Amino acid sequence: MTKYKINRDQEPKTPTQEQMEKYKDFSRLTANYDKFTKRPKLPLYKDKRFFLALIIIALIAYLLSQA
Amino acid sequence: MDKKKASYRQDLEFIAKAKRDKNSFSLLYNKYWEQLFLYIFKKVQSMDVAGEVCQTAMLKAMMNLPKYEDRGFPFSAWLYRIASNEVNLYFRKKKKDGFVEIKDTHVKELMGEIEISGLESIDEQEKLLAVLSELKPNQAEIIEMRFFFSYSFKEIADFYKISEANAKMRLYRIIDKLKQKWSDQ
Repeated sequence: MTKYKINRDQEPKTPTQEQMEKYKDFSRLTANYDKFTKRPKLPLYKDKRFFLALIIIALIAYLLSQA
Repeated sequence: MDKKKASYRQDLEFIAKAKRDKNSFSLLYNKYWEQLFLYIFKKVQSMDVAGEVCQTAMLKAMMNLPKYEDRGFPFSAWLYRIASNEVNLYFRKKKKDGFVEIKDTHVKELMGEIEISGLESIDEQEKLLAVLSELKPNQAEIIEMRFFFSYSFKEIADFYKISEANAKMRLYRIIDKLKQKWSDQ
């Protein structure tokens, strides 16, 4: 539901061109675009840390199954 | 060639470029940033929020640009649609109601359309806004665009991707609904 408020005292505020420019940042936009669209350079199974974590999980699973 | 047609052709050119090279999206970004920012600002009433929402809307536009097809409507209409959805999403996430600050002259204009007497009465003006708040968001939106943001029928038609005649019909149906609600209270 939208609420409405009448501004009787002054013109409703409007940002100036300079104020709007401050928020304009195309490089941030492209960085975000890349973040969302580009695949990670390394596939997960080739990532050293992920691979190590996978071995640890497998080892724990094995030890638990033997216990 | 008039200004609007020239702008439309320029957009098609920019879109084709941006589809080939993402950096060319900056042409559209620079052209529409202010317009979109102002549209969002009118709805969220905060510059920081408008900046963030505008950036997200632009990102979504950039990501969906490969799917964009020209159907004879201005590119800006597509952008406004995305921005409108982003604003609604923002209010839903924040669990806040939408908020629109308006001039009393705009309310008086709407009162005139609904044939309410006593345009100067603050009580009547507030009552009308309460009735307006009861409308469904998509119904209130068209009233806001026409009476509070002073959009032309052409701009409303482009926004909804309908003809101008349809935009007028849709608006007057909602005005009739408002009249009905006004007389019922």
